[in-house]
Order: sequence, then structure tokens, then C-alpha cells
Amino acid sequence: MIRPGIRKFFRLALRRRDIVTRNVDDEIRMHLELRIEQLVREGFSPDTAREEAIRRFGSMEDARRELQQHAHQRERTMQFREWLDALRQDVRYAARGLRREPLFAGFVIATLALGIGANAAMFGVVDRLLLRGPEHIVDASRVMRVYLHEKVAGQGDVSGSTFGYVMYDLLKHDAHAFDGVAAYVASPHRQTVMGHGLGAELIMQGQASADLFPTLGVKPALGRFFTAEEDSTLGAKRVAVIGYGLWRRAYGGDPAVLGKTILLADVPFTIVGVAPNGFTGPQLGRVDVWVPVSLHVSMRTDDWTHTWHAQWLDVVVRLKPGVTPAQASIDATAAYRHAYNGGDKEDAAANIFVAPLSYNDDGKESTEASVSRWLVGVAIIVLLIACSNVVNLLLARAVRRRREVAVRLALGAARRRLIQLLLTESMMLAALGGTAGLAVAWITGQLMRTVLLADVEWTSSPVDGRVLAVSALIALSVGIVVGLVPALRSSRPDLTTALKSGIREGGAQGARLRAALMVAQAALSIVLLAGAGLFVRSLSNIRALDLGIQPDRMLIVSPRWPAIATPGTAAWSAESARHERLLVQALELIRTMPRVERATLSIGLPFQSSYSGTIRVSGFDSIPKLQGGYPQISAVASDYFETVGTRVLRGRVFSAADRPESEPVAVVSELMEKTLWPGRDPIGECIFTGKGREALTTCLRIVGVVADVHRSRLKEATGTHYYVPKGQEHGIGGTALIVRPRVDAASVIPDVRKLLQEMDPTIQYVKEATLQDDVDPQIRPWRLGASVFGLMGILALLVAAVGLYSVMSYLVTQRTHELGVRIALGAQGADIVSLVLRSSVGMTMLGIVIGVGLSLSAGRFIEPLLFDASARDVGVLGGVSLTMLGVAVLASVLPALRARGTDPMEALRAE
Amino acid sequence: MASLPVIKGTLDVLVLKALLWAPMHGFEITNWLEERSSNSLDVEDSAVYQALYRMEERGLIEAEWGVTENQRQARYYKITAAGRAHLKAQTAQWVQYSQTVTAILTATPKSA
Repeated sequence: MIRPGIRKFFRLALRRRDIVTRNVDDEIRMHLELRIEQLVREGFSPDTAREEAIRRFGSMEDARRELQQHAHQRERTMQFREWLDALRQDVRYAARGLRREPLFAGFVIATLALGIGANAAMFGVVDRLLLRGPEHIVDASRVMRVYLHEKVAGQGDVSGSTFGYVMYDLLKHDAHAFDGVAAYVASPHRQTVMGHGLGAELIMQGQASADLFPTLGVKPALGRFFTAEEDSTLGAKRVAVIGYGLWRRAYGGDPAVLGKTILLADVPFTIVGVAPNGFTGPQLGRVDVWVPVSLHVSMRTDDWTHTWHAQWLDVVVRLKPGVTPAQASIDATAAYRHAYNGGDKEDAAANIFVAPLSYNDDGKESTEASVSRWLVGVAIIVLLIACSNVVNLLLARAVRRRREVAVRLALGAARRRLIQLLLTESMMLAALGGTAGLAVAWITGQLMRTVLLADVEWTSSPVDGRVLAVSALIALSVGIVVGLVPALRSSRPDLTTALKSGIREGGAQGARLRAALMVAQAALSIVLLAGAGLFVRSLSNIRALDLGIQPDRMLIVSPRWPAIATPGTAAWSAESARHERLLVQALELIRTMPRVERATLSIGLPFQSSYSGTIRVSGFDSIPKLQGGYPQISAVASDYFETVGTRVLRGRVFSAADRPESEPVAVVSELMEKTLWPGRDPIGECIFTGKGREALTTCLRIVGVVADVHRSRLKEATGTHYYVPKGQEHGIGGTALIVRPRVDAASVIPDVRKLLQEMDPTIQYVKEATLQDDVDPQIRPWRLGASVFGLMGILALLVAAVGLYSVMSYLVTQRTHELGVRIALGAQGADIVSLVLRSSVGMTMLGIVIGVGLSLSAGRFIEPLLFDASARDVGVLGGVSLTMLGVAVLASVLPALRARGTDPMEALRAE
Repeated sequence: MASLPVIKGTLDVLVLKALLWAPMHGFEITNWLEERSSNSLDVEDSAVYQALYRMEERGLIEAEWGVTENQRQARYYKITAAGRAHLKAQTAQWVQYSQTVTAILTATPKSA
């Protein structure tokens, strides 16, 4: 008998390619032989006959080569056709097999759909947030934002991205690392009024230097962007580029919009272009209209082009090819330090650096970006769980089909063909799962966009070309990974045992693998659930957070008036005074509205605007270093603290009796009390302030103490803060009208709006929103984390439970014989149940231990994303472990009960 | 009689025509062509094989190893349905073409 190795050697030597070559030679030789015979019959001598035959054949080598080429090509086509035929057969066979077991197929497809869909959805989000950045930016990885980093006494390291025009100007002219430098203003607060009166609406306005568009590489959808002359510092033109969305909405997509006039805050602008669909500039928020950055100077001083003291714009740059961000930062810093003449020592020593557009205003990766990075990890874990579960199910199925496979092998099916068949099956499952996964991705993506990332301008569908491609790639790899293990395992030719045995034997090794997969699933589920628990805890910590005010009960009413005068002029002061009087009158009327509980006025409002200034306090030569810099000042009308919900701790707050001409008084925050009058009652003490540049000699008599209030962030150490009665303030302005509605804010808005517009028809628009709207974006990252981790965690738990159920059912079936023997030998029902439960609980416990270990070691990385929660939170980890254990017991109860019902007679006879 | 060069592309049709009678191996086909043309066609034997391989690749003919009368292994070629259709179309085209060319070339000029 020839040894298999030798046979293999020969088969290798006779590959199809060689056979084809040999066939060609055989055919030519045959032809020549026949020709020679023919010629000899005609009377040629054998030698001349040979020569003549070769002559008549023509160029031998050329012909041979050409024939071989044709033959090989034909062979390849044939092989492909054969392969296609086999594939068609396999697909048909696999489809039949899946139809025969719809429950199995359905579960596998659903599991894969969840795994693939979750990943596709997360990719869609991360793609926009991190990979591609804002739309329409060409070669986005080279476009960066400019930041300044400095050490500030009392505050430590401070980074910021807001600059004056001078920074843009100097980087544009003095730095060498950039292909383009542009300035823009596009923060969400840059709203403007379009139109006037009843038809007016609030739209998002962006300001851009003329070079913003070329720097980003964006092309207009219609018309053009601004020219450098239109954005000149010597006299910018009133031209506007409107956003694509506004163009469709307000102008019906009419190309004749170019040259038309748009009224922005009562000022006419000429529309010169339409931005492409989805263009948001360097940030992700919607922009409805772009105007030249050199235009809006009414709020600025005359020296706005070269002062170092005013800061209102962001700077983006495009790095030159081959320049690294680090090199660019060094170059920019050198240019900056050379040019700086602002006279501030700390500013003079500052560093300039560049960072990706996805970074926050403070030059660090935004919480959203880091959370979404984590969510990709989550999605991958879900996919791993789904895959291991499907592998588990396929293994179980392979065992069911052992005999069928063995018969096929015995009948001479090549192992390769068999693997191909099994892979076809898993690919088909993956493809179906991937297709269903697209639906999951669409729903998940849509949900995340509208609920969690509402500020981002999304123009493409949640399932776009890139998401589609990624899903296909994931499905393909899943198909291979998931199919390969069972395929290799079950095609191993161990014919005799497989043919002879029932399902009882030969499964020990498979069972070990399946148990390992089970443990892995439990562990990964624990990780996800622990993540979900930590984020939910963060979220509830935020909810429970005492901001010192109640943002959800504070409706902020801000009328917008046209800017009719230049700041600082007498006309401007008169106009401001008129606005102020109107608000005071309106306040009285609003207070009488039945749906209004309280209302008040304030200059300086948490999360919106704040003022601070230097003070003097007796007992200190200079004020000790205060947390968060100088104390914050608010000027508030009577009823303020009751309206915003700030607790009064001691003394009194302001009343109508505190008038501009009465004794100057103040209310201080708890932290200010503790910092400046530790262990003493501050009531009756003085805070010395001064008007303008005067010495700090005016005594504000402290009359009360109130609770601390967050200034602008949820995650911040509260600063010191004091309040003065409205009317006694100096040098601060910008009054906000605050309404505390009885029921909900929405019911009050129309009445208030109508009242104000009737009182003063010159009001362009009345903006009304609860303060919660300003706070919400800060909560978003945790909400995102909690909901996605939570959803995925629950799905993972479900998948793991079904997996455990299937493994336990399988084990019980496999051990029917053993269980029958045990029962025959007198084992009680309870013994059998506990036998089964023990093994499932054992696997789960192992998984929990591993999972908790993983969670603890990953916790280090996730901790910065949590809000006042520790990654080692015992409650979360314990609760999650117990949940997992409970689910494991539930999942194995049915198989255990079935095991108890084993009929020993039948079990033994079945063999 | 002088040898006639074969017009490009016609060899394929001639080979198909040969196979219309019966499956043949390469040498039989060359012989068939020589007999039919009374040796007046100037074709190298290798050209016949190239035509055969080319047409096999295009699916106009099929090949199979068989045994000759003298018990030798030979590759037998058989025309396929596609081959028949091709032959029919090409023949019709050829006949029309040659008739047209003949008519023009043999017309005698008429005096006006």
C-alpha cells in the first residue's frame, strides 16, 4: 500500500497546470506521428518524412507557447465554473439545512445582527466624530485647531482656543508650517435673527475669514465664498454665504437666491453663495449663514485688529505636507513669542500648539470623542460575545450532524470540500446577520443621533457607503471566524467512532471548548454590565448634583433689539436704559400672569454669563488666593434666590427696599464666607469695591449667605461668588429676565413673547429657553455612555443567557445515558437538578471572576470619564455579578428540570 | 495550382465546417481540409491547432481524449450548439460578402 504522504507527494507533482502543459505536448506529438506515417505511406523515407512533417506544422515553439496559453486560460475558466457550481450546490444545501432548523437559524442571525449592527452604528458615529471630522474638509487629518497653553498664577496650566484677530494675522504671515490659516467664530451662542417681527427666526451664524473655505478645501454648492476684499479689515462688505439647509428651507433651493438680500439682525446682507450640504466649518454644529469675520465689529474696540486683550475667534490651520503637529507647534510658538507685545508676562511665555478638530476648547480630546472611543470597544465586545455564542451553537449543531459528516467523508468527499461547505453555511449566516444588522445599525444610529448627538449636523443616512463597507467587512470576517472552528473540528476524519457512536461519545473535547466560550461570554458580559453600571451611576450622580440652582425651572427670556448705536456713545446708553426700563415694566406684568410662579431679573447668570472683579476685605492686605480666581458678581432683583432655587443659609436676601440710593449691601456664597471669614459670621462685615479705577473703598455690607452655585460646568470646583441688589451694580450690564413657571415652561412662552412684542415692536425676536438647555450638552457624554453601555450590556446578557441555555441543554442531552444510570441507581430529582445547576453556576462564577478582574483593570482607563464614581464601585460590581448569576441560574433551570425527567429505561435503551 | 493564402478568420469557419460531419482529432481535421481544398490552401498545421484551441476557449467546440482506430490516445473535437450557430451566421455572412464582391468584380462596364 502506498503511504498517504507519498501519494500526496505525487499529487503535488501532477498539478493541473502540469497536466495541461503535458496534454498540449501529447497532442502535437500525436499529430506529428500521424503525419509521418501518412508521408511514409506516400513514399517518403522516414527521415525526410519527419522533416516534412515538422515543416508543414510550422513554427513549433510559437505554436506550442500559444496553445499552452489558450489551454491554461481555458483551464482557469473551467476551474472557476466548477467552483461556482460547487458553491451553488453548497448554498442550496446550506439554505436547506437552515430552513430545516428555523429556530437555530433565527437565533444565530439575530445574534450576529446585533453584533454587526452595533459595530456598524458605532462606526457611523465615530467616523463622523473622530475619523472624518466635519463634512467637506479635504484631507481632514492635516487640518488642526490652534491652542494657547500657559501657566497662570493661582490657576495652574490653562489652555484655550479663543484668540484675537492679531493671533490669526501673525500665524498667517509669520509662521511657516502652514498651507493655510483661517479664523472663524461658530459657537452655538452665535445666534442671530433672520427677518423681523412675526416671521423672524433665530438662526445659527458663523463668521469666517475669507481663507476659511480654501483652507478647509471646501467648494460652494452655488455661487462663491467671500473674497479677501469683502473680508478686509479696512471695511468688510455685507455679504453672506447661506447654509445648504437654510437655502432649501427658506428659499426652496432656488438658484436665483444669489444676489438676493437676507436680513440679519435688521441689517441687509447680499447672498453671494450657498455652502455645500452639511458644511459646518471646522466644528460639527449646524451653521445657517456665514458672514465675514472682519464685519461684526460693533462689540469690539477700535484696535480690534491688533489688540491682545480681546478674544473672540478660533484659528484653524492646514499643516504643510510633511510637517508634524509638534513641528507646527514649535514654529507657531516661535512666531507668537516674537510678535507678542501685549505686556503680560504669563502670556508672553505661553506656548502655541495645534490639535485635532475633535478636541475640546481646552485642547483635550472632547468627552464625547473619548466616550465614543470606548463605545467602539463596547461594540467589539458585543461582537465577540455574539461570535462566541454562534460558534457555540454551530459546534452543537456540528455534533448533531456528526454522522452525516462522517458518512460524507466515508463516501469520499474531500475534507476541503467539506470545510468549504461548512464555511459556506457560516458565511451565509453572517451575510444574513449582516443584512439584518444594517437595520439594527440604522435604528441605533438614528437613535444616537437624535437623542444623544442632536447638536451635530447629520446629513447622510446612518447607513452610508462607509458604514455599508465596514459592515460587509465585519460580516465577512465573522463568517470566516465563526465557521472555521466548527468546520475544522467536525471535518477531522475520525470516521469509525463517529459512524458507530451515537451523540453520546466523542464530545468531550468539544464540550471543553464550548465551556470555555461560555466562560468568556459571561466574563465579557460582566465587563459591559459593569461599564453600564458605572455610567448609570455617573448619570444619577449628575442628576443628584446640587448645582445651587434649578436649571429646569428657570426660563430665560432674552429679547433681541437691533443694534442701533455704537457701544460707549450717549445714544447707546440711552437705548440700553430704555431696554432696562422695559424689562422692569415687563417683570411686574409677568409676575401677575397666572401660569408664572415667580420672576426676577439678573445681571450675570450661571452657565450663561459671568462677571468678576477685584475686592478688598478687612483683615487681609491682599485677598488670599481664591478658588477659581476673583469672586464672581451678580446683580439680582428681589425674589431672585426664590426664583432660581438657591438656598438662603443665613441672614436676609434682597427686597424691594434695596434701592440704588440705599446702603450698598451684598449677599455672599458659602464658599466665600468660609474662605474670607473662616469660623466667623460675615454678616455685618464689609466687602470693599470701587467704581471703575477708583480705590477699593466702597463698603458693601454683607446681609446674608447663600448656597454655592456652579459657574459654568457640572464638573468644576465652585468658585466664590457675591450678589448685589440690582441697581447698585457698577460697570456690568446685560440683564436677563428669569421666569419660574408654575407648571411647564412651554405653556408660558407664548404669553411672555406676545407681551414683550406688544410692549416694544422694535424687538426683533424673543428667545426663550430653560437654563437646562444650556446644561444638557454637558450631561450628554454620560447619557451617551449610560444608554449605549446599558443597551449593549442587556443585549450581551440576553445573548449569554441563550448561549448558556443551549450549552446546558446540549450537555444534558449528551449525558442522557449517564443521568439515566444515576437515576436507575437511585439518584433523587433534586440531586440531578443540582448536578446540572452546579456545572452552569460553576462556569458562570468563573466568568464572573474573570469579568470582574477585567473590569477592575480596565477601570483605570475609564475612571476619568466617570462623574464622581469609582471604577471599583463595589455596589456596581456586586450587583452586576449577582445579576449575571441570577440569569445563569434561570437559563439552566429548564435543562435541569428536563434532566430530572430523564426516563432511565429509555435512556439506557437508546444506546 | 498555386497555394491560396487563407483570409484571416476563415480558418475557424472551415474547421467548424469540418467538425459538422463528425467529431475529429486535429490530424483528421488537417487532412479533411487538405482533401476538400485539393491541397490548394496554404495553411500550416499549427494554425489549425491554434484555431481549435481558440474556439475551445470560446466554447464553440469541446474536446475529449479518445482512442483512434489504431488504439492511440487522441484529443477529439466536437462542435457545440454555440459553434453551430456561429458557423451558420459566419457562412451566411461569407456567402453574401463573396457574392457582392464577385458581382462588382465581374460586372462589365456598359457604354453610356
